[in-house]
Amino acid sequence: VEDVDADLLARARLGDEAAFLTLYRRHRTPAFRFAYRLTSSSAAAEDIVQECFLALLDRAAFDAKQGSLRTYLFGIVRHLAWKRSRLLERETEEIDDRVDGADPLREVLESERAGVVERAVAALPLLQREALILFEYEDLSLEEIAGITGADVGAVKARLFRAREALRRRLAPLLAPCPEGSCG
Amino acid sequence: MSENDPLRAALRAWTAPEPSAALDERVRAGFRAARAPSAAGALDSLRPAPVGFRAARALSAAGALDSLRPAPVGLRAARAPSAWMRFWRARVSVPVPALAAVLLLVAVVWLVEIRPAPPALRQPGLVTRLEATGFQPLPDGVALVEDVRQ
Repeated sequence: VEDVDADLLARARLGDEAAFLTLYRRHRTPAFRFAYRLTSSSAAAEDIVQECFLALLDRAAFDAKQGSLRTYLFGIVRHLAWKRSRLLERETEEIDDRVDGADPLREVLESERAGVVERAVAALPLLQREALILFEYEDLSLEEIAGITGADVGAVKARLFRAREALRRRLAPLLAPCPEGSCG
Repeated sequence: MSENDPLRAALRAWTAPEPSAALDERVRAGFRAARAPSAAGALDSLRPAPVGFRAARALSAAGALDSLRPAPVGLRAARAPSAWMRFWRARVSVPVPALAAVLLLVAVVWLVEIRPAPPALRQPGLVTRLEATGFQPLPDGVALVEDVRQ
């Protein structure tokens, strides 16, 4: 798989559009999913994915011996999402309060389960959020996450632990055992 | 966390949407713009090459993507900054220990070589002033000693 990606990338850099589009289609969905979950915005995720593949095109140094193109792309997506996050934080500082200030039980009753989970994940600090997303949604190993985030495995474990603890608190109404027959 | 963990099950309820067809078109247009002969050099100037697998750190350290902003159809390549603008936006990364060593060296050189020497202290004492106008030496043997008490 890595050889195929490396070959496609080499051809794309030489101007082979078909190779570039093949490469793009192989990786666009995971890259988009990751960007979407980091930013909670489809528009932002699309911008990031576009930037990501254009950055890959020219001189971004991907080395297949050091890891998969997928994790390499995740690294670029992460960088771009962080940059966006920093820009947004200059404008608003209320991100962490979106869930804590609300009544979780009321949210469960009033909105979709998925929406509650999304807001709970979005309310995590960015380092915890990206570790959780990569581990839970993209099924990456701790070592791969460490490679993407530039942290060591111990730090990734700690971030995952804190993220889960926060989510268990915030999603407590969703996690409560259902009365028999009432859970769909 | 096991597969049966209720938290993991709850997290699975949140699914991400699929990327839109419009994104495909944007990326395709971006590729064509980047590969166009007039734009190829422009993208090169916008993206310094990071080294190594950890793209995020490398790109961040090099500031490789700082000058990039999302564009609707990937036509950023046509907006190559001038050499003057690149000069003003250029960044240099210096390790703190190296910077500290250079500053220390500059301080030492200044102290040793450039600093003006302190003025010499004047010794307190008598100043002798001679006024020799109209002085006539006495001819030999004509000195006369008078006793003023008389």
